[in-house]
Amino acid sequence: MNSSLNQVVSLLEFSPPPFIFLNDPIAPKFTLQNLLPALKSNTRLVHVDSISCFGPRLLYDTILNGLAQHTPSWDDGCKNWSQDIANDSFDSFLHALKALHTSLSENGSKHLRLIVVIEKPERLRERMPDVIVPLTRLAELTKLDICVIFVSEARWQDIRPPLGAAMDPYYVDIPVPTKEVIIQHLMTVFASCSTTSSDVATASNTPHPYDPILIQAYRYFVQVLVDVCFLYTNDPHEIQYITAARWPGFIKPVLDGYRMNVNEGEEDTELEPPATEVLLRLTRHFKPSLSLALEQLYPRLTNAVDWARVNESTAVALAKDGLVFGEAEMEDIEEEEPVDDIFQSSPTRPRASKRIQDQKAALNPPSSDMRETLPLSTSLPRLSQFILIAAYIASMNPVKSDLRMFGRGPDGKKRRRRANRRQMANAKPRSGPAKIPQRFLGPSPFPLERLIAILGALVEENDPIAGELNQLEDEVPADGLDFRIPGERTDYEVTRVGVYASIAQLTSLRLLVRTTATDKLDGLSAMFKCGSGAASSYETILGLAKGLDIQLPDLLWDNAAMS
Amino acid sequence: MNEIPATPSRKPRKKAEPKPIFPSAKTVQFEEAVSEPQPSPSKSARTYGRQTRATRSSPQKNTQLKTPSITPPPVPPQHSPSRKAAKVNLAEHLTALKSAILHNLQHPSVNAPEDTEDFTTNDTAIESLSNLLQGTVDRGEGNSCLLLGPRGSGKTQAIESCIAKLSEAPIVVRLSGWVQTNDRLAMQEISRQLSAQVSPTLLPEDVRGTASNDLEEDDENPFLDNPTQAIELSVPTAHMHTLIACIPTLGRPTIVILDAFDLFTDHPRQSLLYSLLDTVQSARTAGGHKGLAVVGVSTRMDSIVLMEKRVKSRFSGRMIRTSASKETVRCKNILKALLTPSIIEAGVDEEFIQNWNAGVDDFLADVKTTRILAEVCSITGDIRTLSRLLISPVLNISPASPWLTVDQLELSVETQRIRPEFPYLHTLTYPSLCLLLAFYQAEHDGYDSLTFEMLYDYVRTAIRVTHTAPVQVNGGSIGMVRCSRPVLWAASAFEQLISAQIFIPTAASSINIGKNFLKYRCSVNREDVKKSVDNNGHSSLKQFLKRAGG
Repeated sequence: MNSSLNQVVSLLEFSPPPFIFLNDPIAPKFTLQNLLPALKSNTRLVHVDSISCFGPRLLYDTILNGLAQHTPSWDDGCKNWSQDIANDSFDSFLHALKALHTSLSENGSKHLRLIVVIEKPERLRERMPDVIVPLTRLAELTKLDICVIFVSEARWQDIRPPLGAAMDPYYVDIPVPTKEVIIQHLMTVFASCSTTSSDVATASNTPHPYDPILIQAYRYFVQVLVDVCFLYTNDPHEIQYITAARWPGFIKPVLDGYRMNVNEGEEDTELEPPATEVLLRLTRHFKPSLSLALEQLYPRLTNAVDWARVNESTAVALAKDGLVFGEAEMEDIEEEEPVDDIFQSSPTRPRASKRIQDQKAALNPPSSDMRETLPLSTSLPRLSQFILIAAYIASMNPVKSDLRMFGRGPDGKKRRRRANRRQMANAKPRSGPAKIPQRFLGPSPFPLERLIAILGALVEENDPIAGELNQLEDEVPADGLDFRIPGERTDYEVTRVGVYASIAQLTSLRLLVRTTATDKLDGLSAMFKCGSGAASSYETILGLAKGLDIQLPDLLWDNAAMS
Repeated sequence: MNEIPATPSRKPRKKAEPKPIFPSAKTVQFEEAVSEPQPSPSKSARTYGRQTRATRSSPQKNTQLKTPSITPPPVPPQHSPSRKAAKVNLAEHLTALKSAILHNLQHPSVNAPEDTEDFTTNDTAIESLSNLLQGTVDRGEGNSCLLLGPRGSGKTQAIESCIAKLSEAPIVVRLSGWVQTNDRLAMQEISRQLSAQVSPTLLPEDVRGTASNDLEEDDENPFLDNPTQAIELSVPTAHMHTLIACIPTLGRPTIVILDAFDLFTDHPRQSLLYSLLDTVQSARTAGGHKGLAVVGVSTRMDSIVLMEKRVKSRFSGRMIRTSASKETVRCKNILKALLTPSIIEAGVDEEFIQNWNAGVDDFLADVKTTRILAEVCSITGDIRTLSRLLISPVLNISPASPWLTVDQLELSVETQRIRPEFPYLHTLTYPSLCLLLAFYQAEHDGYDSLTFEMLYDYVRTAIRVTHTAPVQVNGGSIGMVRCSRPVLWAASAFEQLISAQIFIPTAASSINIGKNFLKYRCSVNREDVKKSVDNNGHSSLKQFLKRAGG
């Protein structure tokens, strides 16, 4: 516990100001975790989370029940502490508070101090702005010894109601946790883990990773881990999460070695703390996985259990670093194919199609959108993939560029984009900031007709199946269309009802978004744009395009910024 | 305040004593302090950021190191056999003292105890207000007035002291515009407070009639299970005027205090104000009717303009003003009274108290303290602000440093009053600072609002540029540490900045726009970004800053 928190605690013991504002931009949960047990001793304390108390009634009831230490139980009909209706207005709440205070002081303690700790008060501002001012003046309104503490990541000036109506708080700034604080926190977690799991351990007689004897190894491990993570996060809880995912795997070789020794008949061997040399080897082996853990667990791309399972070291890799302890037979170790794609565990059945295999190969993790991409490229039909690419192009390219990109001269040759470079070169010396590429601004809306036109051009150029069909069928169909004219066949294909149905389906999947009202039929044509998330991410669409053999970068107007 | 502040005549005796129970301060008189101008540390000494933090983490050490203020740091007690006992005593005494002072600081009195001057504004206000209330209580007058004054200037204290001084205890109804946000709630609250202070048999006939009528109605109402409560709560708004008109018949004079009076004028048609003031105006002393006083309390000086015409014509037009003390001398007197509590009952040595009082005198006489207090007093007269400034210095008193020090006061001014906009900016994590610097660079390029994609591109370019040169120092690359996109985006770096309101979205988020394409602007000053990067001390971030046009 740091000095500011100590000050708060001693202040609350002496004579607190009516309203305290604790500002902790990094880890308010951690602060609360330290603060609350320290206060429980001689005051009536209630801790209110503004996320769960999303309405005034819930807030009033929670505060009253908490102060009265009353838990509503199912058997008595979940009654609140207050017998009267205490939650219909702030007045009733104030009266109930006074009643509570008198009933509590009748029961003994003559000088009773009430403390209300409110977490995430910025939520109050959104949900019930009227409540903040009276809450800050609670002591004045009830004339009781009551102290309201806000614990927030935000600053008071962002929460404060206008007109200076609320009381000025007594500000307390919580300093950012240092490495030492974090390590100390992790050590206490280890201690609590080893006490809680010791019963299990004695029962099964197998060592568990939180055995108290391993505490020195743990301390060493935690120091290494904190050094890796501290640059990116200083929230103790986040680092604790990463630790929990990695530690059992880290210490597993040592435990396995011990277990093997026991199995070989040396019953009396005790689990010994691993030697420094072993620790160094372990660290060298696992260090790359620490930063990997940070990159995948800190943004919660996966959860700790799955991550630990996937990143468990294989025996081969361990043996390479000399980390197989005990006299293990090397022949026992099977040559196992390491799992190369961590996301492959989805229960889709294996598909033999080479195209899909290629697609997967093309999709080697460029970004976090991986999880969204894989289902997209495998689950969508081919035509829908074309539509998505066309929509991306339509969203990102300016309208005037379409002719240049997709237009063909009478000779059937594509006109190359010559003016492009010069134009961009000209654009730079202009005054004012350069125009931000559309890719950074997000998709812009486009009319349905443009989508269909670009789709037609894409299919014509890049779909071999349609091209083959063109050459095969020479006969004139019944309704008088001549498929021998170049592009006629594609034109026929892309205006089918099926295409519109696919667009509608993509819209319902929110991969496309319709920006005009759905109930309007006449007037302007329907406008669409790429949906947020996967459908407007360059990497995703690039993956789709590679699967379909489309050169996407060539088709984008402003591809200078692409990499 | 029954202690005698330490006088110079006492000093020799103190010095003569071999083992003082309390480390004696070198008492510097105020005259001396003025005559020998010692440089007090300039404000620039308290630089932003790191140094501040260092100061904050170990204020006591710092006082020892770099206190050029006039009050010298106390000399630690001499080593002696009785030192331990003395220390225990000292700790106990200090705890008692701290608790007494903190209690005082929570209940500051606006009026300095030893005011030798003639009438201050507040005294005049109290006098006229108590005359008014006296008239209501003694002679059954109907009175109305507004009590205006800035925050913390003693409005509420004035009323409470007047009510306490009255010869007969009146019924007091306290309403607040912040809680009773409409007339229905206000009526409920009035009826509740009235019924709590008046026994029901005293209610006049017609009120009891209404109540019983209500009761009969309520019996038919299956949703109300508690009839007594129903009487209190179900006063229909239509009856409001009648019910308020009945207040003078209650048998005891009534005082209605409307806190945040300006908010009551926002209620539709100001019907509550109309009813109250109409009753006040038509109060008759005949027929056993008692007086009614309505006191509106507000910080808005133009409160009278907010009243509608028909309401204003019923208002007496009396406005009583309170004002905060602007003079540093008065502030000092008040603070001295707060800081020297009478704790003789707690069994504390007289000598200890004398020493402490002398210390407080020195503290208040210090040039720097005077400057700080003058600064605060010239801006706000709020006594609560002043007492809040003293909380943390008092809390920091410990046997190791048993004095109030000016440095701590200065520090406390910085945390409590003149707060820097983003005090923790330099302690942000590396990814957050990268994003901040990207914004810095973008502003240099002429963009004032950006999407995440663009910021990410800036950061990525910056990192790539540092890695192009294959230079190595001590076997390590000098390039910036890489940051993956999810760490910048999904993890808290970007979202932390948004939730800390450092990045503010320029448009409301919609379901059709992806979060990464929302435009944000940066609320941090360019100068502050620069300073925080300098203070953070990360060398590659400094390079980034240099390239970003800093």
